[in-house]
Parts: sequence; C-alpha cells; structure tokens
Amino acid sequence: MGKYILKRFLMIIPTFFLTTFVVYGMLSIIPGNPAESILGIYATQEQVDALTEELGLNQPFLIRYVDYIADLFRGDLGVSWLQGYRISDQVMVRLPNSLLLAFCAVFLTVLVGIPVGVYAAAKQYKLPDKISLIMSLIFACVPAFWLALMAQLLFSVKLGWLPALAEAKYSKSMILPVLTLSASAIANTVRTTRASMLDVLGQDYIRTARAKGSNRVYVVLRHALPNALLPVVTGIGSSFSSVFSGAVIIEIVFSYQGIGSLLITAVRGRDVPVVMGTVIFVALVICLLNLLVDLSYACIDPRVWQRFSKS
Amino acid sequence: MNKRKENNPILDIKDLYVSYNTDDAVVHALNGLCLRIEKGEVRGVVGETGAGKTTMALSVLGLLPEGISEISGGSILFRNQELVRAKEKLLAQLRGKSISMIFQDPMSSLNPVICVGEQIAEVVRLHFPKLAKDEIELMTDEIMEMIGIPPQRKSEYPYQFSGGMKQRIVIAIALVCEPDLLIADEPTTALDVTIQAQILELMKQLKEKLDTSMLFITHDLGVVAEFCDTVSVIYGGEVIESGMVEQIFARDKNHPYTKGLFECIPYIDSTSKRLTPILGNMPDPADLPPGCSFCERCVHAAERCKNEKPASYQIGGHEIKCFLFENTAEVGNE
Amino acid sequence: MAKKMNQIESKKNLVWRRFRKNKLAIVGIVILGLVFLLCGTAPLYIDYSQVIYQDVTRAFVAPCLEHPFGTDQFGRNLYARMLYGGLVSIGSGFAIVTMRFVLGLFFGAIAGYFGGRIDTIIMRIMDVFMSVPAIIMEMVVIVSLGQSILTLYIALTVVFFPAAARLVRATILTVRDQEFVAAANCYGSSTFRIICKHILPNGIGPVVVDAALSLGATILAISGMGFIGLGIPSPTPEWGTILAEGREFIRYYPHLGIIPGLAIGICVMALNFIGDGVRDALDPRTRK
Repeated sequence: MGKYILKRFLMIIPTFFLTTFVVYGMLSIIPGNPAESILGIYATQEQVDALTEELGLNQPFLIRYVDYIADLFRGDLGVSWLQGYRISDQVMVRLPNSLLLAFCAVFLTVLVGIPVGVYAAAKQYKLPDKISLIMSLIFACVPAFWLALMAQLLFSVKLGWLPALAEAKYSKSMILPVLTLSASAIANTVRTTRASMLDVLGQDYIRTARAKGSNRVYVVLRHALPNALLPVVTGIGSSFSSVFSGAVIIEIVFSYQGIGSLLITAVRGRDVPVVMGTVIFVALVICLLNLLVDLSYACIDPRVWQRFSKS
Repeated sequence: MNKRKENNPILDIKDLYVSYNTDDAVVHALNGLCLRIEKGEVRGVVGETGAGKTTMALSVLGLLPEGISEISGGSILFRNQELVRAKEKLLAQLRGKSISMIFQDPMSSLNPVICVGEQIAEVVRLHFPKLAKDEIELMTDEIMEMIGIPPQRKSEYPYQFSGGMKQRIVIAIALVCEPDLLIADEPTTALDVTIQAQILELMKQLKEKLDTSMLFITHDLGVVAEFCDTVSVIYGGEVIESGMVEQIFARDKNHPYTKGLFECIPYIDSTSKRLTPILGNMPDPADLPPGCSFCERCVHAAERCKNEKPASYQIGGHEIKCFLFENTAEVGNE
Repeated sequence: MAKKMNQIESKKNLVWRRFRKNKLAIVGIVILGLVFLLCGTAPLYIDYSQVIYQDVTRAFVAPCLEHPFGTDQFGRNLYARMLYGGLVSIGSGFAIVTMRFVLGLFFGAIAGYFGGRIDTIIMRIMDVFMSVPAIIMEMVVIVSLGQSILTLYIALTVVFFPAAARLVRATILTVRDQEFVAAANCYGSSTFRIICKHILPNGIGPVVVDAALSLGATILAISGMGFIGLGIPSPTPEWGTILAEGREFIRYYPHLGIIPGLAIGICVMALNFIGDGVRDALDPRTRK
C-alpha cells in the first residue's frame, strides 16, 4: 500500500513541473515589452530599459524560468507589476478561501448527490426519479452565476433570509455561494450515480444476492452501492476542477475574498506575475487532490491492486 | 436415486403462464407449463435457448424482472406452499435457505468487491441470525472444504479464482444452508468440458451427502443422461415430454421434437456425411400459433395439429404432448 | 459493393429511427430550431443599429409591445440585443467546438496511431492543460494574447481540446489493434489511407457525440467569461456580457437579469437533450 502511494506521488512531480513550464512559456509570449505597458506611453526609453533590467525581462527564457522556479521554492512568488504587493502574501490569504468554498461545494455534492442518485435509481421511472431528473436537468443547464444572481435576488433582497454578500467565512453568508456553486455538480453527480446504479443493478451478482434471500434495501446498499460508486468517485474527483472554475465566478457575485477577484484584476491589467503565481498554486493543489482521488479508488475497488502488482 | 415418495412432491408447477410486456409486443414466455419434482429427485429440464427454461426457474423464486414480467396464471407449490403472488418476505425467507439457485455464468455471478468467504457467510447470517460468529465461520470452512477450495482462501476476491473455482464458490453459496431444492440453470455451459466433468462430479457428491432435490436446466442431453433421474423437455414455453431418463432415452416413444434433438447429436460410428438438424425456428413467442407449437417444424404434422392443442398423454409415467400418442395412452393430468 | 452500401445505409436509418423515438431529443430540436429561427432571421427585420442605439430617456423600460424584452440602462432594445447576442453566443459556440474537434482529431489521431514517444509527449502536454482548472487556463491565454474575440476562441479551444484529443486517441487505440487494420496493412495500404478509410470512420462516433454534447458546455463557458468581463468585448452583444451589464440593476429591473440567463439555460438544455438523444441513438445499451 505504501509503495503504491509513493509511486503515485512521484508521478505527480514531472506533471507539476511540466505544467509550470508550459504556463510560464505561455505567459512569456506576450507581444511587446511588458515594461512599456506598466510604465505607460509617456515613459522614456531609459525608464523602460531600467525597468526591463530590474524585472529581468531581457534574459533568455530558460534562465528566467529557472530563476522563477528557484524563487518558488523559497516561497517567493514575486511582486505585482501593477500594485507592487508581495504576491505570496495575497495568494496565501485568498487561495485557502477559494479552496474552502470549493471543498464545501464538493462536500455538499457528495452528501446530496449520491443519496439522491441512489434513490432515483431504486425508484426508476416512478415519480421521485422523474422529479430528480428534471431538477438535475435544470441545475446542470443554467449558468451557475445566473443561479447565484437569482438566489441573491430571491433570498436576500426579496425574502431577506440570507445575506447577499459573503462577509465572513464559516457563517450564514457562505450558504448561498456554496449552494449555487454546487448546484451543477450535484446535478451531474445525481445523473452519474443513477446511471451507475442502474448499470450495477442489472448485473448478475445482484441477482445472486437476491437469490440468497436478502431484502431489497440490503442488496442496494451492501452489494450494488460499492460497485456503483467507482465511476461516481472518478466523476467527483474530476468535478473539483470545474467546481474551482465555477468558484472563481461565484466569488465575484458574492464579493467573496478568494482568488477570483485577484485573478480578474490581474488579467485585465496584464499583471503577469500575479497570474503566474496563482496558477502555479492552483495547479499544485489540483495535482494533490487528483492523487487523493486515485488513492480512494484503490480503497473501494480491490481489483486496483491486481493492476498495480501487474505493472 | 429411486427413493420417490409419490404424491408428496417438493415442487409442483401447474399450468404456469408467464408473459413479458416489452415496448414492442407481449412475449408469452411460458404457456401452461407443468412440472413436478419429488423429494430426492434430480429432474433435468432440456430445451433450446428461448424455450422458457430460465423464465421458469426465476418464476419459482419470484425473481422475474419487475415491471415488465407477469405471472398471468397457474400455480407453483413448494412443499404445498403457494409461491405465485406470495409476499416478498416469505419468498426472501425461502431463497437461499429452502430453495437455492445457481446461474449460468460464474464469471459475473459473484460480487467483485466482496471477498468470497464473506459472500458465503452472508447467506448463513441472513437465515440464521442468531448464530455466533465462529459457528458461521465453521460452516463456511466446512462447505469450502466440501467444494474443494482451501478455507484459507476465504479472504480472497473473485478475480483471484478461475472460472471453474468461481462456479464451485457459487455452488457453495447455494448449498451452505442445506436447501431442500436446488435450481441449477445451465451451471456448466460456460465452462470447459474438463471442468464441466469436475463440477458435475462435485454436484453428485453433494447431492448424495445433503440429499438435495434438484432442478437441473441444460441444453446438453449427455449431461442429462449422466446426471438426472427424470427429464422434462420444454418447447415454446410448455413441457412437451416428460418422464424417467430410461424411458426417454430408450428412444422408442418420443415427441417428434425430442426425436429431432437426439438425431442432431452426431455419432462417431455413423456413416452419414451430413448432420440432421431440425429445420425451421422456434415460434415467435410474441405470436404463438393456436395449435401445437411444434407443428410447423414437425414431419408428422397433420391438419389437426395446426388448430388443436394436444393434451399430455401418459404411458406409465412417460408423458408426451403429441396427437401421435393419443390412442396408446390415457389422458394425463395437466 | 452494393450490399455494403445498403448495410451502411440501414445503420443510419436505424440510428435516425431511434433518435426520433426519443421525445426529449425532439423537444430539444424544436426549441433549438425556434432559437435558430429567431436569431438567424433577426438581421432581416432588425437592423444592427438597434442593438447599439442608445436612448437614455427610455432606459429601464419593462417588457412591453414596443420593446418585448424591455430596455437596459442605456435605453438599448434588449430584444434586439438578445437576438443578435444569440447569434454571437451560439455562433461562437459552434466555431469553438469545430476548432476543438479539428485540433482534437489531429493530435489524438497522431498520438493514437504512432504511439511511442510522440504519444507520450503529446499526452503529457494534454495532461498539463487538463490539470489546471478551465477558467484559470483561459485567463492565462487571455493575459498572453490580449482580449479580443479571436483570443477568446483560442482560449476556449486550447482549454478543452485535450479532452477531445484523449477521446480520439482512445478510440484509435481500440480500433488500431483490430484485425482489419492489420489486413489493410498487408495488402499495402499507406498509413494515411488506413487512418482515413478505416480508423477514422469507425472511431468517429463517440467523438462526434462528445462534440455535440459539449456545445452546451461551451456556450456556458463563453457566457461565463463574458460575465466576468473577459469575454467578447463590448459593444458586441453576447448573452454573458448582457447579463454582466444588467447585473447591478436587477434589484429593481429583474428583467435585465432573468432574460439572458433564462435564454442561456434553455439553449443549453435543448442542446443537452439533443446530445443525449444522439448518444442513446448510437448506443442504445446505455439506457435502462
């Protein structure tokens, strides 16, 4: 087991470095001299040259890349071109906030999506199934940010039940952001779980289980569910990335202090180091999470060991 | 093998009608099927694919697919208890404990994520909830030894066993609670011939030890000859011939379909160059003919056969549903 | 030869027949058809000037006969903006899905057919794109290339084509090792021919389905970018940007927020119905 974990962990490292390389490379394509854009059109050539020198923009690409990685390991993400703050400070505060939002959304997805999906499969074609399908359809198709706006309108402005803006973490003001963010992931999880359950329920070993004399609920929970969860876990694992994407937008709607507004301001102003620093950290987090998902797969499905020992 | 107690059958299926309501049409899978098993008897059930053998087996246990299937008539008596439309709770109590079933494909019959020891122990626990943990373990070990798999392999998973061994495990699950009746639906069809022989041998031994009555479904006449006491031949959802193995395999009096089945088997000492199949196909179960279901393929077919259904004619324990034998016997009970 | 043609033909008919039976898919086609009709014919009877014509005296008008969807804060006719916006949103969606499909096909085919080093390199790079959340990667592209319609298209293509490439590669791997390819090799077909005549036709099914299904997600992504201000630049109407512009006023003029979002939702729903219908028609095993 330990060997498996180590092996999978080592596999992330090259992917992570490759990601940093590709992203750094993409961000270096910027046409024109960034120093010029920072200083504006009224800057003199000397000022531009000085800034270029200072920012190290005249060095060859690979050297800049290596320097950046070296700095990265020292925890130094550089300084914002536009506002001069230390990027690592901002990222360290805001990224955990975004992660918290995303985690809560994924947690809710698992808590709500899986049971509803199982129930819908058990009552296939009857009313609960139809209702859950319709609801999933609606929530998966409307834009999350629109849902957020409408929720704000309804629950905050018209009904006054919940705060409109997310002021503090771990408070009532997180409810609307988490709900609207998770809506589409819940919808997809319900569909996937339902499909997977139906697939499993048609398998021969379910028939065997019933032929042993187990009652229906026991068959569903003990025999069908562990097998049905395998594709669902994969789905949830990959949903983290899209939940995170959604979080960036939802944060804007609720003025949540996550990396969303940080990034958008940086993109609009072409503040490259900020974008770079944020992307790197996000990539790292996602890589680690994918690892966790893979490991959890191994816990549920004993056949994974077979494939592992063969390779 | 000849200890039969008359008039106290363990399983008595009378006039069973089962249909499936699909999107396109209503499929009449069973049409007045009659079958009887006495205590200690091994009855073989022979028929082509689609004749209704599995449907019959599933009906006994109440495991027909819900929503689309329907038992539209007849009765199934198990030890004089009616199983048709019985409450689910009653059926669940019988399954695994009094009536067990093993299915055709061992590769997919076992749950891939639960270890085999647990899958065997589960049946015991379900029906004997008061038993202590170590007693259950003892029973599991015992049955594993009986089927020839070392009990140390209890904690392994199905993917670690071969097809033949998986089928043994399936048999163990079916027999661990010592049921009165075992329904085996083509248990050896998916296995190699050599493994097939082993499994049959195992089943024979277990049958001797536990005195289980069996309903053995197969399409292989050879296996029937070797293993069964009595045979029922199914065609078009009904039993068209039934009797003791010696009577049917004597081949002096057979339903034309059974005769055709025997002639399909190539013999090593025959000199003919071509095989003799039964021409034509089984009737479409969604569109059954009004008369005898075999008449279109029968070389002896008469005008009468097209419109009238033959009754089951008895000749000393040997029943045949064909007008050819109308005069040689008294009409049997349906 | 003639018999082979008949066989292919009847498979198409079979697929079409199954598709027609699917009620939701038909509903999807009807809805989408209506949307296409409305948006597509818009240029005929609504001049583009209406879209950008501002009349602040008639700002924030609620939906009425003259302005079926009302007007926004600049007095612009929301109905006109929505119709042209539909052209932009859906048209962009089609363009992006096509670009993605082509790129995915190209890279996936190369990786799948040649295998080995080339495969590994290509797939590693695809992994990179898939390991960063979509929005973030889109932002990286927009930062590098600036903000314009073209860069938005590039951003959205770049972010999602790896998934398509992966699918193509997987399909090709499955098909490549089947015997009829070895047979074709034996009688001297060139590599290119083999790919075009044998591998692609057999592998293309799931890829087309994926492309169709992703149109809805693409439109959502386009409007998402528009909503945060990184999408198609004003004053070109696009449903996401329209929603963003109306956002601060929805408290008092909800029609500015409800209408664009509803439009996006309905279109995506229709597209999903159609996509599901296509997938079920091609592979009925997945139902029930």
